[in-house]
Amino acid sequence: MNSSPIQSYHLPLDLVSALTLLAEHEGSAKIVAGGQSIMLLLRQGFLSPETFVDISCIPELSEIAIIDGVVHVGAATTYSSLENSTEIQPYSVLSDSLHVIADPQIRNLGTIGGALGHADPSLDIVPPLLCLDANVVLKSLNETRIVSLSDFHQEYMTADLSEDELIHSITFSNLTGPHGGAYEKVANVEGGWPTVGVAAQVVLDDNLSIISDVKIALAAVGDTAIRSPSMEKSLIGSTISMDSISKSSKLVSQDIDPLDDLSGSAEYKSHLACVLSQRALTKAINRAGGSL
Amino acid sequence: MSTKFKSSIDLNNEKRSSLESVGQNVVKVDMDDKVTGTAKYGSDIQPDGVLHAAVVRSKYVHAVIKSIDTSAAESIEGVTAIVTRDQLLGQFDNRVRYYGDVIAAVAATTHELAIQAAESIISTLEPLPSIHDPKKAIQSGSPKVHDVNNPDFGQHGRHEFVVENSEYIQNIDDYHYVNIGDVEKGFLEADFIFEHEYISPRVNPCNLDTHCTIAEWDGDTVVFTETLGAPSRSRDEIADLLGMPHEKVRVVMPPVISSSFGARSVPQLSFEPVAATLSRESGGVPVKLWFDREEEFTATDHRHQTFYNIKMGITSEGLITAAKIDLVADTGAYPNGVGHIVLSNGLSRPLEIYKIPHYEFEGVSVFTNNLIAGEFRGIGSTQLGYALESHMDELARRANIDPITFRLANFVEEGYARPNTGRPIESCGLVECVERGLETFKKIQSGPTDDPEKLRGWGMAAGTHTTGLGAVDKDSSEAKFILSPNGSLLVEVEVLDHGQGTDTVMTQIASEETGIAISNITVRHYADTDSAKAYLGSVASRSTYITGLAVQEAGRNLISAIKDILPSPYDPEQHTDISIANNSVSFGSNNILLSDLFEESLTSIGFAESELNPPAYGAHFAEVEVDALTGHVDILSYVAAQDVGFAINPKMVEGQLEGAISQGIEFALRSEVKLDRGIPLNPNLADYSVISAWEMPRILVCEIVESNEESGPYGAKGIGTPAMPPIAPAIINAIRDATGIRFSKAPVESEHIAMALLKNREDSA
Repeated sequence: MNSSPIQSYHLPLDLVSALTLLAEHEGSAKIVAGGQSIMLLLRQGFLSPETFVDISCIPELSEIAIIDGVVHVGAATTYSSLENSTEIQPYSVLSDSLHVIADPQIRNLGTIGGALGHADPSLDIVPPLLCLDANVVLKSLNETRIVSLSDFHQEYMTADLSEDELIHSITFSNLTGPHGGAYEKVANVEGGWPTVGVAAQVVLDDNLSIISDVKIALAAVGDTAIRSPSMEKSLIGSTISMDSISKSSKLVSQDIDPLDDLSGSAEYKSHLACVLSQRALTKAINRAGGSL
Repeated sequence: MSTKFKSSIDLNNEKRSSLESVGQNVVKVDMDDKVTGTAKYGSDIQPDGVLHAAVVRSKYVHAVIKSIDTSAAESIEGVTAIVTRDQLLGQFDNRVRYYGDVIAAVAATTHELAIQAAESIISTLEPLPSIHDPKKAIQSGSPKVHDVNNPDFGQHGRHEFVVENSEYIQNIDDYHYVNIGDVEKGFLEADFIFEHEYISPRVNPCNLDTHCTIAEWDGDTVVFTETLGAPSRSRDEIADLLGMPHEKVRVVMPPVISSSFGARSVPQLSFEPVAATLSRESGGVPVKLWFDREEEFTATDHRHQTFYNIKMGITSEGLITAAKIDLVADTGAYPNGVGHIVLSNGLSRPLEIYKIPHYEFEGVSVFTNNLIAGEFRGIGSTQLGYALESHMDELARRANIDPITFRLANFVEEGYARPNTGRPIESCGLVECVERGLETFKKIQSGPTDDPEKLRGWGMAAGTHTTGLGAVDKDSSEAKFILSPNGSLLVEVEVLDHGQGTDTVMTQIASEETGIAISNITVRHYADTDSAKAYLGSVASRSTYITGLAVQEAGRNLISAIKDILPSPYDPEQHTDISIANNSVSFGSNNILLSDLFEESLTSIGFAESELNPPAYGAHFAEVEVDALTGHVDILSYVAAQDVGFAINPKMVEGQLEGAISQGIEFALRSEVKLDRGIPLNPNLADYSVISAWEMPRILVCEIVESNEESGPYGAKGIGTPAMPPIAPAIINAIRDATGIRFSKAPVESEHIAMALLKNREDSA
């Protein structure tokens, strides 16, 4: 229940207008794109902003482009547009997660920037982007900042975003070498909040037998989505085998700090983190051309 | 994902071929308006000048109200009424008894102002000790939710009782006990005895259209515009609750009836009385109270959580010698008459499906400081079905008997006298359900898998729920036909189409009896409790059975009335069959215009009554694949074999089964309103899981069995509620088959399965 009357709802058509509005209403304005996260907060009375700045009609914020080997995704790009874009098809870790985010209606409205700004540790979209070493491009009237996604989410539901800034885009570099990625998730119902979600991205050597690089990131096991350095360290340079995957997956418990919540107990989440890490890794290695 | 829905209907085609409209897959008559969004539900109504209500609700589960400061709300322009709990019409004292109980309410010119005013009200509450475990609540020394047992809140079904159990002292909503034969002797005769407890979930119907009423006063009469499934019974309950004469309360149905699944079969304590008081305090003008989703979860009813302890003995041949069933049901904070139904159905159903020579049942519904429980599809029968069929399955497996053979050996049959009432079982298609269901299931089963991380298994469960209320209190219904000279027919009935298809069924029956084309028939419900004919409405799967009979009778009477006024050359001896087509009556080779027979309209009345409540039966089969590591359950194949007596509209029977299966899957695996000492943790659709097509069985086949119930129209009996009981146990029994583990607390969540399997692996390692 929310009673505070909304004073103004702005629909700027270009970036400068949006940034100007944010500067003018610093502290009292809330950015809205697809509304899929903010509406829940409004309905439950957690937020009652006076001013909304709707950025969904600013063309440059919905663009997807590859420039000099770097993929740029505008912050107001919907999950659906990204899911269907040819540019991200090589990144199976990302497309896996896009297929399992909520349902098509929500994917048609929800946006990448909205999700990242929301900073919920249970968002499916974050672990794949962490695996891709994504950067977040932030803009205000006076400044452009580029922050790595792993630094951007500072703590529970808190992003490194000033009140006069908006998320402009998300960028990540083209992958080289034999690579593969996968996202594995368990939820109570299809499209539901993940009990645990695990993304894995591997790069193999040219002989497809050694893991030359690997990134593993998890959702819903701590205050923010997080990488698993223990697993990554144990796998980099190792020969691919079910045994090494199985052994390294057990290390994930060192890097996570799950709590009991509605989706499951901490004990179950730890168990799932291990199981899903193993599955995501296996799938990623297979997709990279490795044989297990 | 690919879900295939099929039906394999081995229908009584000889009978069907002699029928024109009945027995056919007529398209639902209410479909177009609902699909295109033009249907006007109660919440769509916005009378001129309507005021909007908001309710201040308790965050405490049990507390005394010390003070309520409304001064800030009073200063808000546009606020027309502020009422505190003690000023509400009805039985409100100064104690709140559950999270969401009403403290105060406001009416204002806009919804936003009403909410703003409600939020400005400051209340001071002093917490009281609370009780949330019904098994403890009933014992001496626990906090009392009400000072007396069996308190009178005007609830239907309230009756005097004598408690036979010396440990059941307080917080008693209702109590049922029966002792048939000699249970101790029965257990002595047994070669194998098994006892176990089964806990059912507190699930919510999650109607898309949340509760909405518009209350207004016409002199000293209060009028509510809203969907109430049993309109006049609810009218009486509201009047009793408000302490008003029944005739001073009116309930008017909105143009289109909302869905219910039981949620709209009884009034709600913090709903109608609140809207009525706010309207009275605002000078009688209409006040709209429309619950948001959190209120729907906290201030309306859920399925009773039940604790069933079942002890059963069998001979080495697999015949039941005795059963002792103990039921504790959590009624929540206030009575509404539904605890009575949960207990009585829990008592009766075992005797309507199995021959149990020695039987003892004790059931108690208990007040706690939890959310209020109420009606939900297959009241009590669904919980009993889950417990009993889990028990039958587990007992058979432990006794090394095939679970299906075990059931077949103990099923009742047509003519078998129920030991609690002496009434013989009417039509019974149980064996055919099992045989046809199994045959089909064997054809569609996926079978074993090579995947070492997947466990597959299958299970079955039978179930029953009765049709109508005849055995409780003679059930009756009336229908009225109004034929216009242009050939259009208006059919007035008491039952409401919540989406289950009664308007279509009644149209088919009216068409069958008169020959009038489906497109020329309109069904209208008696929309107002001022009409004495609208009493029970659509509850207890009675609509097709009892109102269908009344429509059939009205159709026959209409034809008789026409015969009475047909002029020459009509000859009753020669022209035994007449029918109405378009705007004329035909007999032999003759046609006479209706307008030549009567001027304004021709009416007929049909009346039906029944002292029977024939059980409808089902046998369902489920195949599951369990992820051995995550515990996730995928339902691969499912057969619902259901005895409906006669399928008046086979496609709609399938629709009822498919809808029931989705709610059964929620009960078995996915859905529960979780409480932490009475405080709901997931009262919204982001956190409360509702399933979608993804969770439905990959392959689903409906087998419609027609046992021809002689007392029903064309042999029909109910489907809506009887479809529910077998579903959850069929799935849970399949999980038992796949994992070797009996799960006896539903919903059986993935976590429960994963952790139990993990423990098994660790124990065996």
